[in-house]
Amino acid sequence: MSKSKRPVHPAQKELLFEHTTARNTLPEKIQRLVIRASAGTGKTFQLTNRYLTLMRMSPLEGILASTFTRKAAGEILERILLRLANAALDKKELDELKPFLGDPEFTQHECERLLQEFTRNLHRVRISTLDGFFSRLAGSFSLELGLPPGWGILEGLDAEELKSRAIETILSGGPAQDVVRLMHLLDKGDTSRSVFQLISQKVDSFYDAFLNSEEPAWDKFPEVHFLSTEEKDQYIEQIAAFPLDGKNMTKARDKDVEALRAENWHATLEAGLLIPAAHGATYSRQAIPDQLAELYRRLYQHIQAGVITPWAEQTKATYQLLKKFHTVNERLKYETKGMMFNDVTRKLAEAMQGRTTSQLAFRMDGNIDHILLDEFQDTSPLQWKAIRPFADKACRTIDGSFFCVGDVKQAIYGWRGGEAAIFDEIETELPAINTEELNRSFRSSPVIMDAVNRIFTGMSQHNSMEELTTTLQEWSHNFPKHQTTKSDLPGYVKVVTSPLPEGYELDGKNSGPVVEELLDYTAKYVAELLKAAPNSTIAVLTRKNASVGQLIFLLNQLGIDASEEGGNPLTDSAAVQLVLSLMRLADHPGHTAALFHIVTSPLGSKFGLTDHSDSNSAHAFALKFRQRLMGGYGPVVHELTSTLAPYCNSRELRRLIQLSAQADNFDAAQLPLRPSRFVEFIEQRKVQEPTDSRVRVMTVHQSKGLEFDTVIAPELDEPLTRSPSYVTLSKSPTASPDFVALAHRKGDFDLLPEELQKAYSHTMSRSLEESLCLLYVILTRAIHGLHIILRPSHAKNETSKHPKTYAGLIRAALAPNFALPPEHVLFETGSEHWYREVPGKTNPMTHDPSKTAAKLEIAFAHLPQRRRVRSVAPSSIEGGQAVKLVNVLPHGNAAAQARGTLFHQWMEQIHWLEESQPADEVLLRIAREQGAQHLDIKKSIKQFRKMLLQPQILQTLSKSAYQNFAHLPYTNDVIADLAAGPIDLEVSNETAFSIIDDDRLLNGTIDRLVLISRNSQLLAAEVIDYKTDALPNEPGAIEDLIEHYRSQLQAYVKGVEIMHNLPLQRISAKLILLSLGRVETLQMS
Amino acid sequence: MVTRKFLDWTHAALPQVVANLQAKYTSQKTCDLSNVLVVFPGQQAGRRFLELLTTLTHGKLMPPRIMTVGQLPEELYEPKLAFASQLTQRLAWAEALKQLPDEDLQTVIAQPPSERDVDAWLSLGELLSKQHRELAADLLSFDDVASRGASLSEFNEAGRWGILSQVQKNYLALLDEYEVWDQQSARLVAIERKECRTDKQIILVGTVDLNKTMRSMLDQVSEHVTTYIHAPPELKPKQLNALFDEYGCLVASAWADREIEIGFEQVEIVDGPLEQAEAVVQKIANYNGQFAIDDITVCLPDDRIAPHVQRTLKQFDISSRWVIAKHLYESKPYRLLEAVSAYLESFSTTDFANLIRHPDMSAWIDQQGLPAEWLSSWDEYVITHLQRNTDEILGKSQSSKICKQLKQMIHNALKPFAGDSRPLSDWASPFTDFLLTIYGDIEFQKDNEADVVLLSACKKLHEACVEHTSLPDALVPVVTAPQAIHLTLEQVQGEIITPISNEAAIQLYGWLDMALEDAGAAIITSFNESYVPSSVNHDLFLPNRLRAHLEIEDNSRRYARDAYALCVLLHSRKELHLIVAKRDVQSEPMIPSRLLFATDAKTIALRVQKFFGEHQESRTALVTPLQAGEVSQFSIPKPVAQLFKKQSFSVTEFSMYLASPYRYYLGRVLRLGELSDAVDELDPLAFGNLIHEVLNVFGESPLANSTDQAAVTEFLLETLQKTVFNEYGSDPLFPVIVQVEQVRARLKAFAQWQVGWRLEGWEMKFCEVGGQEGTPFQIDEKTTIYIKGRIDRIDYNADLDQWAVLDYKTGDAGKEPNQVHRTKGMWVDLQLPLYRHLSKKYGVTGNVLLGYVVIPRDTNQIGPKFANWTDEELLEADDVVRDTALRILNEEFWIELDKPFPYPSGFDPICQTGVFGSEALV
Ligand code: SF4
Repeated sequence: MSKSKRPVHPAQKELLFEHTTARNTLPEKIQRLVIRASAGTGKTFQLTNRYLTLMRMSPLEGILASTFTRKAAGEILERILLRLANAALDKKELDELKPFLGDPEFTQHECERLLQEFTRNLHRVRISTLDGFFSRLAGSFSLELGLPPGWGILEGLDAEELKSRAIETILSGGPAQDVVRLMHLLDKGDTSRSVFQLISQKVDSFYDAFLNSEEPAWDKFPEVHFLSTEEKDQYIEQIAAFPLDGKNMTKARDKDVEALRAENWHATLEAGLLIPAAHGATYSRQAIPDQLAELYRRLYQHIQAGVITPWAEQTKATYQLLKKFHTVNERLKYETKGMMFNDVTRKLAEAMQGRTTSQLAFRMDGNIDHILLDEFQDTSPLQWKAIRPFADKACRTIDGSFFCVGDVKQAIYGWRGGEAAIFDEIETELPAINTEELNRSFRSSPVIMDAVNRIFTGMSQHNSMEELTTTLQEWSHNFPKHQTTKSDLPGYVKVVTSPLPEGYELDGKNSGPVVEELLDYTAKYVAELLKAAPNSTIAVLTRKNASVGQLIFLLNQLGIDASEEGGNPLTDSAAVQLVLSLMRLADHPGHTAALFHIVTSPLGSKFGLTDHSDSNSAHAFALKFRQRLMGGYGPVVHELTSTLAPYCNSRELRRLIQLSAQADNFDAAQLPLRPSRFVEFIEQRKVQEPTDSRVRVMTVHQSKGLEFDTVIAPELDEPLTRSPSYVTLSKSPTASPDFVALAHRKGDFDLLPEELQKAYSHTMSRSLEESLCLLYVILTRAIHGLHIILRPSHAKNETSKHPKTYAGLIRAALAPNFALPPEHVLFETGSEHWYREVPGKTNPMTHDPSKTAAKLEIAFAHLPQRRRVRSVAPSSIEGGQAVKLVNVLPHGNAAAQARGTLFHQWMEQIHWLEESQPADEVLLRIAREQGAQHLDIKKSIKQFRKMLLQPQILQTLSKSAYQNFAHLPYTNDVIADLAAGPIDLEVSNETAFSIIDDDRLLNGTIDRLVLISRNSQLLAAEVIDYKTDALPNEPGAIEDLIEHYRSQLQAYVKGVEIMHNLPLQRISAKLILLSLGRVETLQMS
Repeated sequence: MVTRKFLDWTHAALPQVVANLQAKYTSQKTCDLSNVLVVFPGQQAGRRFLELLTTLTHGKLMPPRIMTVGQLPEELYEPKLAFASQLTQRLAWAEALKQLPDEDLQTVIAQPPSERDVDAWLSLGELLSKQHRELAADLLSFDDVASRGASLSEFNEAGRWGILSQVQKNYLALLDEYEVWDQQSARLVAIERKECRTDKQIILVGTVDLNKTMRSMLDQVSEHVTTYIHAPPELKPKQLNALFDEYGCLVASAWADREIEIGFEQVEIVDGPLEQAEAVVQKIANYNGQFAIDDITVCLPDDRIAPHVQRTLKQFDISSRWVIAKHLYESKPYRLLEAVSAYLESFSTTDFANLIRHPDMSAWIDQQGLPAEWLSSWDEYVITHLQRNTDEILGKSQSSKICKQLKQMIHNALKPFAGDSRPLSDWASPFTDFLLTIYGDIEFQKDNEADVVLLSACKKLHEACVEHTSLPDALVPVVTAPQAIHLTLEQVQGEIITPISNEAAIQLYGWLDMALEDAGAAIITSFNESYVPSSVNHDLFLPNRLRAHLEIEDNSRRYARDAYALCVLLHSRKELHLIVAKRDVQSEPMIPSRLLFATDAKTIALRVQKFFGEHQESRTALVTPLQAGEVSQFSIPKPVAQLFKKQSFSVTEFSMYLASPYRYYLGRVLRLGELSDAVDELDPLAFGNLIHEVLNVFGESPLANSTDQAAVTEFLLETLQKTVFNEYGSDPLFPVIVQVEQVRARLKAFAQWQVGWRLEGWEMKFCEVGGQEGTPFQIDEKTTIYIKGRIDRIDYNADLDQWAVLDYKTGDAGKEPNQVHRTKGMWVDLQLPLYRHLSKKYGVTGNVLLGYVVIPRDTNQIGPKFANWTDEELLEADDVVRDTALRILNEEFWIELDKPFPYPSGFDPICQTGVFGSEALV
């Protein structure tokens, strides 16, 4: 980006926006733009267009583009690169690009410039998920945000474990009675066995609600009062005794009395005279006598108290539990330095309150002036809080811009905190936003689009949505008519019922067999479709996680290689299971099932495990195997893979190889002492098989953003709404709730003050809306074929009401009569054999990549000489081959070690003792430099000088040592040689050498080397090494020590041999043991 | 002025340097470099240099001193005091921070750690220490940042840096006080006082990016300095001057625009780590034997993929050598101490179970003479008694005895760590003592890599401890043993252990070592942004714009360095390949390196198309030398004939057979089971047993037929308490305590029901009967089997002349007998029908009710639930018993199911449940 285009100083820019047509801004109409883009209408395309446009007017770090998944972020970046590259190379592509940039003048030259700009600044590009952006941002402000130093993001197993630890801690946190009371409340008076599970469930379902609200919101129930027991009983008896004529009413009253006596409040609320009496209404068209009604009314408040009191207490107890959990959880996270993405976002959102983003710009290394948000419907209020200041600034800056794209009809992440209503809100929260709608699909055929339109318009015919009717009607009413650009694509839509199981009597209760039959039917259905069009893609979209596995199982039984989106855990392989059994056994040698599994497998004989009742072997094996695992799971699994390969088919082998890779990842991620952890890790991870399988089975959520030739929806008989675990009420979608309550029976809400009653319908409407989104996502994944398979129902079961299921909506729209005989086509449109009209779809699948393993021939050049040698320091080869730990650890504390080192250094100052000794100040200086301040230097100097006076040392370090040849450890001929005339002595300290010996690079430093020569002819040499080891003055210990250092000195001798070309027998070696004042001559072999 | 010498970058650098030096310094056949310092950017190059030098001179060599740039400064001046160790620095920084007034401290750190959190303070110390090192290397103090930053637009941190500058002053004052030196400051002083001198010749090789400290020092000794620079041979001096400054360092701006020529075929884009590894092997295969194995280097800028690459190479029998044999934190001693520290912190059962599973600990235990199955004993103990910690070992069983010894043993080994908090330095010798306890008796082999790794890990850990004894007294924190261990481990966490053996192997290198490497072929993996080149944009202290402004290392310098290195590699290697990944080991998306696009716009466009175009093939085939067979040979082991004929049957085992004959075989015939110590709380069985136990005691007590509800309640609750105490002691896992409360509530409700039931006229006649001897049951003319079962209670109501045979059921749901016994009109459980026969010998005849006393979650439901089977149905049940027993006696165990077994079980792996293409459904 050229300098002139850099934005001006933010202080100048942050004027409230005013109309401007500056060169470097977008046309005002699109400067602050919200796009509501229906499925398949090219959201990402719009986003990249926008990005490309902005690149022309802003530095890259000024543009923040965010999307929902990391993968999608990567794809956006690639798309930008590719579109620029294509346009740079191809005039046609350039022309296609121009209109999207809104500039007919856009030249190839500028395109090139942008491409260059972009590729040069890849490191400044801000395209990521919101979470990614936030965690980077938090990284630059971690001290201000109160994040622990060195924090990281916690995921997967670790996050789970942290949760367990927190629960454990809460449970242990106070007197058992408190927990019991809490449990009792949480359990609604029951006494469930599993405490852990109960709390864990509560935490799972309520923690988000907790985080998003304040304590008072959980305490909004009205004050209620019980009657005194006498009063209550009195009223009941009066009611019981009240004379009545009507048969019905008497019966109802008697029932009421029974329920009232049993304090079964709910029964009185659901039927009987109480409610009509309380509301002054009639009972089965008969007036309730006034006096009787009055008695009921008096009881009403008691019943109200009876229902609301425990409800309020449970709600509060839940809050208390979560509060405890929260405190502990926060502390644990701080201690383990692990944060969840959500925590980071929360901290940021809090910190952003009342701050301007320009305060952040500095550490972020640049302002963000342009915001592009993808999949906006899935943004959580928290995320919005954190990103909002940036959005706000982008909107209010003269040449800033704001762009967001999403589809409220695809908001299916409510359970993860996504809040589609924010989408509606931005238009009011941010200034001067313009909105656009995109409803032309680039994906689906007209037949599919028509069906989608018909379903979402026609669903308003549904005749029994009760209190949710308005929500449904509104959705339907607001549904934009979809069109498609693919007007030529053939398509087919069919709604059909599955057969009933043989001999099945429909009793209305047990639908299990019908569901099973339906899944069976679905699998066969897929098989047929695949046979007809082998080269088309088919997706089966389910509502329930469990059905995915079941359908894959059924499809596999039919010989169809179906995979789950994202893959299955590796445990779908027998070979992997076997490896996991090894891990189980290693952790629990008493696990006889695992032992048996191994004993009866090819691994049994390999590990010497041949008898499943031999527990000693199992124990010995377990230890050995754990020992091996300490070297990493990767290497172990890898070796097992080779061992097991001959027993595998290609799929099993592929799974094993994937297991090795996962094991490597595991090694990088954690180092547990428990092999079971690895088992858990593998059981949790889904690993996609690199197959080309055409059939994929997935939940609706997993299908987000994907498209398939054919979509099959077999689980639309699921209810549209489920009873929620809690209800909330808030002023606006982004505001935190003012009221949170555990969910209760619908009728109980009538007992609440009017403003709180809404919480229920409000929560249910949201639940319905999300279901409608799910349905929308399912239907719009299809390109050509859409098959909806519904449960059949017997004629006698037929009713005049549409069920509150997805199926109910579809039937209301497409097949409004109520009959549902088995194997009946309820609706059909388009051409069933659409695939015959699309080239290639009916071709057989040719290559199966799973069967082709690349054969590789690997060869290396053989050079006469090895290029590299092994490098060894002589000091590292001391002690020969076997060694004990004691011999390796340096002795003594820091002071003792420092003293040893110091003496060693002082020795370097000595040449010939009889000629000179190092002056005190020299010794002092060395001591200071070495940092021996812990030592008493004066004393050390004294000790040093005393040590030098030891006779053996004095002798060895003097010239005189070399006067008497007889004492020198040479062979006779060498001694004779030396004695033959006068000799010259040359001493050097710290002589380095480097030689290659036996394919090893030996290099090191000789403490003291004495060269004996005559007329520059070298005759002999002596190697002297100083040792400061503190050891007892005993022959045994000294011998050990000498042995220990022998190979080191041998290496020195070797060094001298080569460096000076001196035969070995002319080189002697001595060890000076400074602490003992001893000198040892080594016999060299 | 430093003398610059340019080397031809179409050849590797090191051989050229060696040749130069040899020519210059050889006299009388000996190459005398004893007065020379040769300085490299990293360690690898120095090692290789010496190797080449030694080989070329055949050992007739007085070797030079070889060092890294980081070590050079201390050769050039005389330090007057010892340097503060890393740990001293961190502690001193932390201390310096603490000296700030609260208000200032909070400006810098919103939530300062608590005083006791030594760990957190040390991390903060390290954080500041790092900024200090980096800034000081370029002659800057924190104060300089505050003042120079002011001229940078958007700089709003003068206040923060002002406070930090105070911390810096505190820090230096502290070090003064302790009479140690901060190394960075010492260098600055030496420069300022012009104290740098040397009598050696200094040869710099490939040091193209020197910081200001280094440059200033070199200025003072420049006549001794020669720098060798790898550069394009064709360039004129003037062109060279544009690229390299007078120190031979890169002129960043010149490299920013330089085009880098990369051939299309040199780049491959792959998916993840596995694919990267496979691409490496593919490349090596493509070399077709052109290179010796050790003439190929693979570069791993992201070292997290090292295991993938090594594993894949090993599959093809290719040895490789990575500079890291192990990270210290992966080593056994480290992990042992980690486990020790965790256990000492908590004394929890879980941490104990972890510790004894550490193989070195296990091996040590094995030496101490416990029965071989001590680990299973421990597991059994854990699941039997559910203890939170190891304070007390409960029970009198054999396992409990073993566990007592085991605990004692471990506690003896940990004795050195006993005691309260003391100064960190005082923990040094306990630390070493412990290592010696565990490892002292083992003879390690020096040619065994695992042994060497272990030894050097112990040594490093020991050294770290010893270092504590030299800390200035004022800084030594007072800590507990686990804290001391934790701190020590933290301190050495980053260290690595290098491998020993070096057979001919492919070398795996980090990116920084690549430029000076001299192998003929190089494959560079993870050629992605943030690895090559790395960049810092946003930052906690020094974002890029500030860096650029302060003229310290910034993105342009990083880019220049890597662009240069890539150019060197491209020119000096016979073969060079770049592998670009789309995602890393964590599946985070990765961006291709900018260096791939350092070219003209047209070429950029072409490369983008090539790399990201639609047509890129997906690599789905696995690269492996392993050969799989046609069919999987993993089978479900078939039942084998049993030696002993079965005679007696328990009432409950029929349902197991009916659910899955094969699983029945595994569980009841082979008696296999899963033993695991994963328990959080009482499982349904233990929960039920607890209630049963209490009720049986009750049934045998004089109160069994009492109508005094208070007495019954009291008795039940007392019995509960006793039973719990016996089994679970006073300190079980916390959920157990709460669960016991749940049991208490259920028992209270039970008492109420029981008394009411008694008042209705029901008398408990028998309790827990029928356990021992079997009841004969004829299954055909020849065969009689014996049925065993323990009936919880048999009640009689004289008024009604009716018997009730009852079983306690404690499941949460409180199911009806019919729900349990029959599914879709078929008998799936036969317990109650068999009780008919078992109860006969107690005189139970005539009008007999069969049923459960359910004691479920909802205490309102507590009470009997009777079956109302017809006589025909019960006769049918008998037939099912006969039929099932016959099948079992005939060992008909291999019978396939028509549906997958409904719930997860420990036998699933054997039965291939959930396995694709499983052999059978059993
Ligand atoms: S599709 Fe969504 S709501 Fe349904 S089970 Fe899956 S994740 Fe849950």
